[in-house]
Amino acid sequence: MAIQANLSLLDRSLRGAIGICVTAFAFLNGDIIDDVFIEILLGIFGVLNLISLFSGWCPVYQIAGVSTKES
Amino acid sequence: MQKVPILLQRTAIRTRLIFACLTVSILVSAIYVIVSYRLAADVGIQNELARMTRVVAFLNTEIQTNEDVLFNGNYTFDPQSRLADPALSTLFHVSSSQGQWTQAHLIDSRSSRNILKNIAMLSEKSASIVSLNNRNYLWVNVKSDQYNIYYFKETTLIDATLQLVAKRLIITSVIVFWITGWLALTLSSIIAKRADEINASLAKLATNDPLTGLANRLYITETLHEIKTNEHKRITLSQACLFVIDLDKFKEINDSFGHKTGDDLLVELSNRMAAVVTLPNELIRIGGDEFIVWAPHCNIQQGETLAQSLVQVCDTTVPLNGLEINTGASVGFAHYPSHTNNPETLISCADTAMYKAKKQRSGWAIYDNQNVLVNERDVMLRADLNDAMLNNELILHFQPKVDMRNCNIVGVEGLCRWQHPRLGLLTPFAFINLIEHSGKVQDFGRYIIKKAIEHASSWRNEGHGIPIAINLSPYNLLDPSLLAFIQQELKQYQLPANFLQIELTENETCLNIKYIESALTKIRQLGIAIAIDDFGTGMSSLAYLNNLKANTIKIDKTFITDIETNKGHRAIVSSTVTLAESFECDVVVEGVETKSQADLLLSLGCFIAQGYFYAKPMPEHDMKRILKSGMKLDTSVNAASIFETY
Repeated sequence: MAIQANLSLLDRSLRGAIGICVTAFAFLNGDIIDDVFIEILLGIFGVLNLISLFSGWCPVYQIAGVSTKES
Repeated sequence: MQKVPILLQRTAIRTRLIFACLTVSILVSAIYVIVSYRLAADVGIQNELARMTRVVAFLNTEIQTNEDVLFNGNYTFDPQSRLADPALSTLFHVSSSQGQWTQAHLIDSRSSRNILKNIAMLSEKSASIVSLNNRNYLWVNVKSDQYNIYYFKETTLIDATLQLVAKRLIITSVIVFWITGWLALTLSSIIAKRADEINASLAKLATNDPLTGLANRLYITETLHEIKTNEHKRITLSQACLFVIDLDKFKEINDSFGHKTGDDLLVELSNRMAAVVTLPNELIRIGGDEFIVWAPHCNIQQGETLAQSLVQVCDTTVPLNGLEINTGASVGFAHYPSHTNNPETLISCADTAMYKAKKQRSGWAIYDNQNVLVNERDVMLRADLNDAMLNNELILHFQPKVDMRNCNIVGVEGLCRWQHPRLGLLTPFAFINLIEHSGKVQDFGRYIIKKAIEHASSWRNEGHGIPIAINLSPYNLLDPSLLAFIQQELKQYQLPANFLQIELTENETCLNIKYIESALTKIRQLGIAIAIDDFGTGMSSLAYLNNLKANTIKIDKTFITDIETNKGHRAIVSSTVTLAESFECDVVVEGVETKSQADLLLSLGCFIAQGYFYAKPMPEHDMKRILKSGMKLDTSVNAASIFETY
């Protein structure tokens, strides 16, 4: 599956913002969450979003054959 | 390249799927949160109750050793330091046959009294949490031989559980929701895509012709319907042309070389036509050997060019089975909106034009606006036709047949006219086709026969015995009871049969010639003379002349009009006269308009004539006037001028 950008600018920045918040929350606020399992889950989701931010590509969109990228 | 035809497709499946998936995920998350919350709270309460039971057991041991002190009121139980949370309020109550003892910690005396009052109502079946003054208390009761001990303790377990849920369960739920969202998106996209693919292939099947791969009739119907619908939305198509193409000799090719060859020819021709028809124009096969070209935004000039190129393309030879086959095509086209405002009638307009092209063998033709008026009038006349015969609006006019040698009237031809209440006097050209196509041919034939017999009889009674000839088409002779009808009418009006003559108009197909022959023979046996009308034109053959054994031949006026200049026509007339002599027939010439024509015809041996030189067709009262005046026409004064008005 070739990596080809399929996110629009808005989609990308929104995911970026969510990714940064979630990752930061997962790694810097361990006391609040108080559960390693949830921290890891949040970490994975955050990182996935950060990947989307940097590559402009979403694997789920790719599988679904959806693209929000302006043609 | 043909674009894939579009049918109305409704694929809102995607939104619905996403909506359904998200609803399910929210529902699942909510159930999951509630169950987890209850589970956590229950586990906490069970632990707490076990701890409290241990405290009560400890108190029980304490009481037994210090019983006297207890009921004297000087006893203080202090489990807090070892067993309970000192920040939470507690209440102990011990009762026995010797007395009662109560100790409250961080509870005011009023609340204590309230709790004690409620003790009586507590049983083993009661909930393990009781609420009082917005505080929740857990309680345990231990009964030993001597003592009945109650222990109440405020609990913050529910709040603590809520905090846990807020932290962990909600975060987990969000993640679950997120995953479900993605799943919903993926699933819905995949399903919607599949549905779209199936729809597209179904639409292609429904709107495509499998043989040529072109769009089919449904496609063009949809397209035209769409234009009509969009008219109301003011998304108008400024103009367009629709072409109907019909291959001329396809049936013959199909019959002679087989369907396979026919199919190959269709495929090859459709490929060649598709090369000429470029987008946005589209080629459509509507069935058999009929094609349509839909050309949006095409004006009439462009349409003419396209029509010509289509005719040319179809006129090329196609090599099939080692033969060079050329079928040729007729193309008719109509323009929207100048020919019709309704896109849905474009096909029928173009069809009319195509038939015109086929008839004229002109290759292509454009729809004629005049046809609309004619068609509208025809529709109106067809409706009136029903009443015409009932109201006797169909009348006979008469044109004399004259012996050119002495200008004596030897007979008359009855010609049908329609005295229409609104349109005035109509000649047969306006309505005879309507009659032939309305299924009233036989009624009409009988009507005319009856009228002719009526007139002939009344003239005869007035002393002007003269035969009336009427025109019948071979269709009338197919009427099995016509003979009986004629006999009956003749009998009723007491008219000898020789006062009626039948002129048989030649039809393009001589139908069932055997049947007609026998019908004519029977009619002739009655004594009615038979004439062949318009001889020399149409499909008449000499065999026809031989078979029908007519009494009279009427030479068509096309041979007479230019007989003075056209040697060929003179030869035809002359030989027809000879032919008639051999068959022992009389000859009548039609359309004599000048004296010189009359003289020439006389010299060729024709004696009986009909034409404007002698008289135009006239109404009955004028005819009677002439009959009264001696049945002789005075040609020194051009008789035609007398009846100029007719």
